[in-house]
Amino acid sequence: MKFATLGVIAQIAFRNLFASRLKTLIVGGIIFFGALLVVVGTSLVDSIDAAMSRSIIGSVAGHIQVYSSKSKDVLEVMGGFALDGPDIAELDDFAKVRQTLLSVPNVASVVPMGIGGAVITSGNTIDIALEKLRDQVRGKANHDAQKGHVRQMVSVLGRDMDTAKVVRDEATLATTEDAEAVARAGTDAFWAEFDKDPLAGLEFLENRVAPQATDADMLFLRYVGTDPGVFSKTFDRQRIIDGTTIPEGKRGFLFSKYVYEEQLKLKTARRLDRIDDAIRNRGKTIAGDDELQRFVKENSNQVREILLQLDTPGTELFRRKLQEELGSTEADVGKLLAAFFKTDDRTFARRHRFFYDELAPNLDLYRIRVGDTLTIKAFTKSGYVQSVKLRVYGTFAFQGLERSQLAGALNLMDIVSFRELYGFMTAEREQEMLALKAAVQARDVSRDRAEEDLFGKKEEDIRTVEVAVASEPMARPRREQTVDRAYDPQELVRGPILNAAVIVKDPRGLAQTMSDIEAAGVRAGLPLKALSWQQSSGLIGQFVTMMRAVLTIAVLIIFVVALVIINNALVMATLERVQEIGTLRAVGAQRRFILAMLIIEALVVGIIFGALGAGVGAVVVATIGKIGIPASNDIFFFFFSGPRLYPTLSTVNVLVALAIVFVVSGVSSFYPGYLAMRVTPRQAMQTED
Amino acid sequence: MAFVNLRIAARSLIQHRRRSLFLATALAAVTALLVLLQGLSAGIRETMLHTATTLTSGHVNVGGFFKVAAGQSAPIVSGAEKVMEAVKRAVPEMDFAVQRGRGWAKVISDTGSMQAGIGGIDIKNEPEFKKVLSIVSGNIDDLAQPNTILVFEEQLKKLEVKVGDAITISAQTPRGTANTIDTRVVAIAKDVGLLSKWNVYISAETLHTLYQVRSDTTGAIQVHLKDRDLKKLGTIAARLRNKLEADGFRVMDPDPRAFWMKFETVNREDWTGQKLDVTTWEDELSFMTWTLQLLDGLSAVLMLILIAIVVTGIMNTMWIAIRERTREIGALRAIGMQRGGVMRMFLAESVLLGLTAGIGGALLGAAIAAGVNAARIEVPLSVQLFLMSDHLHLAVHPPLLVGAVILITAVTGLAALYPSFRAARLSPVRAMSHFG
Repeated sequence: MKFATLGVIAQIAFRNLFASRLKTLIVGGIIFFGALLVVVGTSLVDSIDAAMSRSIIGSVAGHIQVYSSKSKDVLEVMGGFALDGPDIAELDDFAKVRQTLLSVPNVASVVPMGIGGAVITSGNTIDIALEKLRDQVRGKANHDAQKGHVRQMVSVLGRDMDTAKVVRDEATLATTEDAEAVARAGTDAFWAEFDKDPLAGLEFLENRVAPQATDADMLFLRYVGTDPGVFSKTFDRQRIIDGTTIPEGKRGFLFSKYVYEEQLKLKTARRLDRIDDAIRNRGKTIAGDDELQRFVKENSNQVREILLQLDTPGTELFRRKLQEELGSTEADVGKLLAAFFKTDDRTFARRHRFFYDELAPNLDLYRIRVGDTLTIKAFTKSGYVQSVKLRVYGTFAFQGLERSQLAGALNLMDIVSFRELYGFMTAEREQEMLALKAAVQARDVSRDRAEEDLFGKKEEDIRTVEVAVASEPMARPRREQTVDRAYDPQELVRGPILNAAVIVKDPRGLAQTMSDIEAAGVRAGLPLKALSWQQSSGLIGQFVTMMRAVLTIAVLIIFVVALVIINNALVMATLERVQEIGTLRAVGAQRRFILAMLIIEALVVGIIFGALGAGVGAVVVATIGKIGIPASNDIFFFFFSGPRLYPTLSTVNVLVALAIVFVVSGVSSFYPGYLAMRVTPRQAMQTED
Repeated sequence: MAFVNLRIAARSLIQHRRRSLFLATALAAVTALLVLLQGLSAGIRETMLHTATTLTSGHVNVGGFFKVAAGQSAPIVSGAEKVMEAVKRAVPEMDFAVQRGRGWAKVISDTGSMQAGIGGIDIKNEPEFKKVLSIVSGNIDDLAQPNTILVFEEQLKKLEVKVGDAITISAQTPRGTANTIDTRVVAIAKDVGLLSKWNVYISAETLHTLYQVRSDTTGAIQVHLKDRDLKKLGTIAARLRNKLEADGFRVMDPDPRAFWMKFETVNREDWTGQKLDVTTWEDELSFMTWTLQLLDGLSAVLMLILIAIVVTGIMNTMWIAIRERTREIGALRAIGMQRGGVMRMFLAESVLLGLTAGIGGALLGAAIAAGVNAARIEVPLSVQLFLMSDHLHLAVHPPLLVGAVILITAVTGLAALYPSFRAARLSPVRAMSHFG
């Protein structure tokens, strides 16, 4: 077709657009919104994708995770929805793994890892009170008040043991010895004795009475064992918030700031923080929000935690301060606290300030403080309980992800301690075992008598494995040295690991690097399997893929329905123009001319309104990009990689929208075009009117 | 009169069959999609109900916490028989009720281990449980013997056991010490949705030994209702709560969360002894139902956009139809048809189209759903979390189909309202002399 003809067609097409305005508006309207939707939708998904990859790669996963291909489960570093960690086979020698990985050209750095979970008991109240008493006894300070506090607790303990009888099986109920111990600690005779020999008294209280207290809070912690130095160098968004990092060669533990705040902070204070945040940063009011009302109610109901922290002078101080603040004459501190925490929107700001300025300095806000020792009890892979004592050196967070639960779920420890908890034989353990064996002069046990020899005569099926209790007398004397024990840096490098995070130099060649790594593993005789960050972060990584799939399907369905509707509108418009088309044919227009005219007409509508829609979409994205979408809850902090998502527009988003619109408008004009082609000049003349 | 209207409407539709057909296709597609999306949502809900009420919950549960000290709680109902009597009196709608022990422990075989929820079950009194589970190997009745365990196929991947093999269970007792028991695998059951990934069953007696608690305690009393009473779930739970309180039990405030999410709150409350907690199956699955809300939300947005497009299409068609038939309208008005009649005529046309297309689409949707269900399509793991099941299940029931047809018909009718109104307002003389 000649260029001149095309010009004529375009001219006619443009004129027709204005001639049948209704059709143009309807078809155009649908296309306009379609293009708008595609542009905004795809750029949102792209931006979340980019933000999430920053979150995942930057917090713990790295670009690639490497683990043993002999594992039963697929590695999931973020912790899947199974509450248990995945079953991963170990890689025996990290040094060799590292060497192999670094031989792949695109690999920049390698971080050794092991991920596990354990229950910790965050010091029961008696232990804490006893420790304080011991300090005072040592420092020869007046400890009468503290003594009263402990004695008060012992009497509560006695009552608790009576309550327990309702549910506990008589046979396994605390033996009479335990009950007697508690009873003895409650007598005046005991405390008279105590004043003569406080250290012996403390010994008795710590060993015989404190274990009967069951109110220690059990916390489930997930942790990653790693080389702390290499970790913080590689994941450079890591920031130490409190304390210091774990010194090189030392055993130690770093809390994730998120866990530290959520799990270890005094719940009352935490709830005040959350109410404060909701009011100041999210424009909520207590009156208008169910959750905040629940917080207020819980704070008012749950004052026990604070009461337990107060000794006699503390109680007096709180009574005085609260009476003054509330203008009340109530003498019971529990009731005063309950009244104090019953806040509304009017009183909240003042009470919140008063709590932190006046009350908090007299309270332990965190149940484990930086510098404290933490006992971690974990099930090893073979099912026995292993416990390790570690010093808490500080807390950390990832910049921009401070409030994200997903990025903040993992705490950090040195990998040597991790190996011990996981049940690997560490060099130190091996030594200890050999020494023990020599000490008890281990005899060889014949196979058929093994059970009797090792466990005595056959008992019923119940075996109470009280690992912690059994090891206590031994662990206690060397507690100090256990906590601060160092390890040989060589041990860190040589020992076994579960997985390793790999940071690459050029993230574009990820797939290639992954197959290079596996190939290098084969050459080195290591069963290495590489996972991209999307795969190793499990469901979270696949979230974007799923969102993209949902968007694609929705867009597809919308455009299929739109296609039918547009097609219908065009068919009707064509039929109205039968005379015009017939006339054109009569004056010599060829069929192809008619077809081209209609298709171009549809395309012109498509492109003009599509471009308009895409343009408006771009403006919308740009506007949102300036303001940002606020992360309404902690989950979104992770998806947005910060407090707000700032979506950006890429040319691809616009081009995709235009391409879809182009195809849809083109395709929807085929059938009307075909109808128009069949119109003969005679038909045009025959039509009545 | 109505009949005449319908006849004219049908005639007009057939006369313009091309445009009617296109519109009908779009309407039918939207209806089918509506049916499928709602079927998916209802399917997930059904799977959830089924899985939950088989494995971890009744329709209504009386669970509770026993606190030895203010700071430490165990998911235990003491004096279970007495509570059971009270529940029976309070819920006459009850079909049956069972007692289940609740626990959480490490399960260890020779080759692997996993953390799992431990259900203590009294298999002799649980005929339903036997009926619902399909046993791949072993005998479920052996669960009546002490120190026996039932596992699911999914767990074999980790544990690699067969019937007769030993499994050790290690748990922390309320005293904070670790206790272990050795059990023997007596049955392996087919998976029941996602929850069977992390639930195993041992005899109630064995659970008591594991946790060293008295045998007259249980984890929860699970009350099953007859199907027709499921709609009254909320009122039944509220009544049960009141009745238990009236009977002198201490009852916790309603809290729509699974029992294992409540430890933290309960531990911090200042009471000791027993409190009962009444929950529904939805509460116990609250950590899962957000997927349903998400799906329903997305479906609603999608349907809204599609309906907007379809409405545009219908209005466009109507305008053109009215313009084409202006003379016809004039003629009808001239021979005595009232304005209302004209309006009804156009409305009837549109409603008829919507109804036919809706029925067609609904049937199409139902057929696709039946096909999908029959094909038992396996879905990837990430989708499983949303579906609560390892294959796609669409629950398309007659009420849903009828609802979809009514919705689509109503939408087409409403879309035609304004054009029909305009058509009715044409004056006969002007309409008769209209050209084009």
